[in-house]
Amino acid sequence: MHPAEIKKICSRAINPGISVCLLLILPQIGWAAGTPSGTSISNSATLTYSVGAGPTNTATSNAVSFIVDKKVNLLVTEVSGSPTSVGIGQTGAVTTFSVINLGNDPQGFALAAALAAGNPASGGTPPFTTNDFSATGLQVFADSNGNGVYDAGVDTATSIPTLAADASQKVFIVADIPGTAAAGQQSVVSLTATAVVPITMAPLSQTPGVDTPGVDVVFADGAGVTDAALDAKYSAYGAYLVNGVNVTLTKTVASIVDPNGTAVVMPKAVITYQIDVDLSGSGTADNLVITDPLPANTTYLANSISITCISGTYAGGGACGVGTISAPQPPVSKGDLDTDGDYADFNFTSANAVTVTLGNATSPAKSIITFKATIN
Amino acid sequence: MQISRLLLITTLLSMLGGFSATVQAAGDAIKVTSIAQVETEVIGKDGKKSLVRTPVEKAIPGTEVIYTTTFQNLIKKPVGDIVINNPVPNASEYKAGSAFGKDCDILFSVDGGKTFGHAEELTIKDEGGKPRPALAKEYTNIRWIYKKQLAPGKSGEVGFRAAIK
Repeated sequence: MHPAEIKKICSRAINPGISVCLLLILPQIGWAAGTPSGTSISNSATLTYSVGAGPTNTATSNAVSFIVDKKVNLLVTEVSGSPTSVGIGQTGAVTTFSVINLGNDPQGFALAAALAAGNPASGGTPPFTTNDFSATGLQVFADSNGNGVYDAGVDTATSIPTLAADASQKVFIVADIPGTAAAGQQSVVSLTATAVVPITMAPLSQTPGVDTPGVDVVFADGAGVTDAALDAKYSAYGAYLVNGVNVTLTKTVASIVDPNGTAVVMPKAVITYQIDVDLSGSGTADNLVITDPLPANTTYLANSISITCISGTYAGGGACGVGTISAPQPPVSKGDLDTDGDYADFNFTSANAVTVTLGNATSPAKSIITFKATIN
Repeated sequence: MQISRLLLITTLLSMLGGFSATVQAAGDAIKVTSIAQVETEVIGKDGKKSLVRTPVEKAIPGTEVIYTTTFQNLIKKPVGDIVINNPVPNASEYKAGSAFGKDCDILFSVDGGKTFGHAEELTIKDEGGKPRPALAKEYTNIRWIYKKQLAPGKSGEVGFRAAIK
C-alpha cells in the first residue's frame, strides 16, 4: 500500500489578501519497482511419462537461467502543472519538480537547471510554452529534508546522492526575476536529471555489445523536453509567470462612411471607432473603466455605443455582466445615459467622453467597444 | 551377522537395481530441453519486419521472455501419459494467453501447483474472502497434458511467455 498523498494547491491571490487553497487527497500511483539487478531467474520443466503399461517415469529438463540486468529509467515532472506566480524583481522564486527513479536499483541523480531556448520554448508543453523573459541566477536544490517545500539554507544539496528504486524526490529550481520583467510575462526553465552511480556520482554508461554474464547496465528512459530517449536523462519544463494583469487598449478606426456612401474623410462622414480591451497576464483588474474622450472636431452620434464581450470572467457589475464568458457574444447596443443601468454612457461620467464600465475583469479577457462620431 | 550382511547386500542390490532402472528410463526414453529466448523485431533488407528469437541477453524488468520446452522420444516404443509441469519462473509474471502446446490440454495453478484448472476455472479469494477470477499474472504453475502417444523419434514442443517483474 502506498500512503495517500495530501496535496495542497494554492492559487495566488487574485485580489490582494485573498488566496484560495484546495486540499486534494490523491492516491499515490504505485510504480512497479522491478526485480533488482543481479537476481537470477531460472526455469526448469519436469516431464512425467510411461512406456506401455510400465510405471510413471520422470524426466527433468536442463535449468535455463539468466541474470536480471540494471534498468536505468527515470521521470522528471513539474509538480504543480502551472507556472509559479512571481512578482517583478522577486528573488529566490521557486519552481518544484519531482524526480522518480523508475529503474530497478538505487540510483544517484545529477541535477541541472537551465533557461528554455526560444519563444515559444522549443518542445514546451502548455502552460510552459511562452518564454518572454529570462529568469536569472538559476540554482537547483534537492529536497534534502523530504518535506516537499524548499527550505533556504536547509535544502542545500545540489544533487540526489541516492534514491531507491520506485522512490521519488522533489527538486527545486530557485531563480530571481529581473526588474525589467512585465506583468503577464513568463520565463520557462528546465530541469534535467541524469542517473549516475549512487554516492560517488560517477557517470553511468550502458554495457556495450552483447550480453555479459554479470549485471549489464541498460538505459530504458524516454525522451524529455530537452533530452533524447535512452540517455539516462530526463528533463521537464517549469515556468515563472509575473503576476499582475496587463490591460491593453487599442483604438482603431473601424470604418468611415461619408454622405455619398463611400469612405472619404469629409464633413458629415461617420467614423466608427473601435477600442479593443485586452487583459493579459494573471489576476484581476478591479473596477475596470474605459474612458475615451471624443476626438477633436467630431460630434458624438447618439446611442452609438456598442460592446462585444469575447472572453473573460467578470464580477462586480459591468457591461459584460457577471460570470465567465465561454463563447464570444454578439454586439450589444448601449444607451447614452448613466442612469439606464447598462454600464455605458456618453458625457455623464466624464465630460465629452465615452465611458464603459467592465467591473472586476479577470485575465485573460477580451472585449470590443465601438462608438460613432460625425466629422464636423 | 551373516544374515544381516546378506540382507544388507540384497537390499543394496535391489535399491541399486531399482534406482538404475529409473535413471535409465528417465534418462533415455525422453529427452527434455528447456530454452529461454526474447523476441525482437528485425527489419530485413526487403524492408519487411520479422520477429527473431534470440537467447535472453539484456534482461531488465518488463522484458518478455519466451520459455520453450522440447521433449523427444529416444526409444523404439511409443511413450504415453506425458505430462509437463513448469512453474512460472521466479520474479516473473505469466503473460495471459501465451501458453502453447500442440495436442495438449493446458492447465494452470494459482496455488503453487497444488491444484490445476483451465484458465477460466481459476479463482483467487479477494480481501473479503470471496472468490474472484484469477488474473494471468497470478498463475504460479503451468501444466501441459499431452493427449497423444509420442511415437519413436518424434518430439513435441510446449512453452509460454513471462515478463520479468
